[in-house]
Amino acid sequence: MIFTDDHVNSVEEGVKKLLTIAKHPIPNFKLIKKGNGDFIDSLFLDGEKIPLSYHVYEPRIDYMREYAATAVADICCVNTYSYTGSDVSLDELIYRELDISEHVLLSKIHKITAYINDGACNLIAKTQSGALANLELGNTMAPDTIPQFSHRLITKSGMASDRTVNTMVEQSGVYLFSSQDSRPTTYDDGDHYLYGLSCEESNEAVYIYAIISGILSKKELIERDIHIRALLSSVKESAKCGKSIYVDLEEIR
Amino acid sequence: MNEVKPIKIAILSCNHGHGKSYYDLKGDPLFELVACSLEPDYRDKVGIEALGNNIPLYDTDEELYEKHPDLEAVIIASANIKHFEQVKEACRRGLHIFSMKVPTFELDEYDEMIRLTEEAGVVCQVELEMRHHAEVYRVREIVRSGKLGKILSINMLNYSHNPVWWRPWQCDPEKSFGKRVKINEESNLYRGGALADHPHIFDCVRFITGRCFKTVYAETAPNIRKEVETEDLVRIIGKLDNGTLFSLDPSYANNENKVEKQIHWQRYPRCVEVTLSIVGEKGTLIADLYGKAVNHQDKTNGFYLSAGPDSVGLWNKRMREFYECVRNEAKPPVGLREHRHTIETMVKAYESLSLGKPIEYKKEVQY
Repeated sequence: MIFTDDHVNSVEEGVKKLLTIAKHPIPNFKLIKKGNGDFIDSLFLDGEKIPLSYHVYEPRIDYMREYAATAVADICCVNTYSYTGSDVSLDELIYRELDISEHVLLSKIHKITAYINDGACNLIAKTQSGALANLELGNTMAPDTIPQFSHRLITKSGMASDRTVNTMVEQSGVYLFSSQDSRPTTYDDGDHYLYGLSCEESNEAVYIYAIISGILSKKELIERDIHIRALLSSVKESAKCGKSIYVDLEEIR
Repeated sequence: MNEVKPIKIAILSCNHGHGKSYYDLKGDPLFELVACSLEPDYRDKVGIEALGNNIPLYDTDEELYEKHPDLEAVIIASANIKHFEQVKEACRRGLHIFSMKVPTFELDEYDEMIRLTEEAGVVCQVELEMRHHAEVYRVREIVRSGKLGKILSINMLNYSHNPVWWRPWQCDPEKSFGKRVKINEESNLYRGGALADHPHIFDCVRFITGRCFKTVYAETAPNIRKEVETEDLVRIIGKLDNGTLFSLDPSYANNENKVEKQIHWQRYPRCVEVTLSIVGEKGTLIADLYGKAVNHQDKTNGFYLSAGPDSVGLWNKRMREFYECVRNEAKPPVGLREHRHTIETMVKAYESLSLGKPIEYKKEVQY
């Protein structure tokens, strides 16, 4: 089953395939897509609702975290722009990028200064280590536009970025130029075990697999979600009052 | 164009980063490069050999002026702290001035420069090379066309290497900022680093939007380079006078080799970057304002590098414009008066760093 190129047709199917490969029992679980007032997907497992912050499991983001972890005292800042279609709410975008920032900077945010303007948000967040997360965010592109982003981690000993030098937009792996249409068809494939799922769907499937198999702690993910939502509230408070907001928290690596 | 009458011009000090880019004037039909003065400590650091043997070199401006009384114009290519005195002397002598991007951060001095140049009736053009990139004009046209709708935010970065190793004044607080002022009470850094070296993105925001800055908030990240005492990494956010958000990053974010002469100094593939994004009600724009680059390997050390389009070109656009200003009374693309708001906003960014809070312009500013 593993070594065929049969398409995986859904995230749930992908999760079951990974659990099968790992010879792990397949529990009853349900993927709850965002909506109805919630802006991230959730996993319903063992009577608990677990937020799915799979954006931090994006391989390039994870690589940057590992890069940072080799010399934590050297971390200076992460500079980010992240623009999506209007199908992604600004709350979701702010939530996602704050989560990524802490994940990569390996330190919790304790001070936020933000400005918001309908579909745009600029903010500077300072972590307890003194490093900055500088975010430029917007969600005014057409729905379903491929998100355009750049995360540039700067440290005293070097930098890492998911945007290659001299590139401005997100690249695809495969470009098909036909003889009939001047515009290429692009393909965005993630994991070959999960062939048929996009990169984002693959990330979500792997994330759910990691939760079910115990690699990720459900309790920590639920606590993390509460923390990031508190930061999101601080962003809105700062934008409303025009001042920096200090967040009271403990340092957790 | 009317018959060409070359302008007799000299380069003063030669130790500003862009000073050596004007050595080519020795072969430019619009100019007669008559002489250069050199800061003594920089004689072997500014590539003066590119001038050849026919351009006289002097250790002081006074000696240069004495030997060349028929001079018509000067390029003030010195450390920021010298600009005011050099402008004063040039005005006294009735010389037209081509100024580097930071005339002075001392706003009283700046206003005096405006007064002196206008009283003397001399041209004073400020070097802002981003005004010569076609991408900037395309972005401005798109904004003005309404294709993006109401502009919600405009965000720019200008990253570069830190030139302190071969040009120490650039991170000397007094020589760069004009005086020694701590970033804030908690910091061991002083004003005069990356923010002081990168006014382009402030100017571009104004040029593209036609608006002025209203609220400015800044923060620094820990320095990449522990040896320097001025800021490496700084971010400025805030609002323009029409409520548009902005975010500016003028950091020395790209690493370099610590060399005493500017040879084999590039470490990060593309040492200078200027990029922009605009979020509008009707969409989002992302742009590389430096345009397309050529990627290559340095033949000596194998480092993978990029060269931007203005590494090679047919036109010295800035000096062509300066010629038109001097000979044919054209208006400079950016003069001292127009540039003041940019410099004042940079000073306000430093004030925000000191006070740890947003700084607001109390009075309306005219573009």
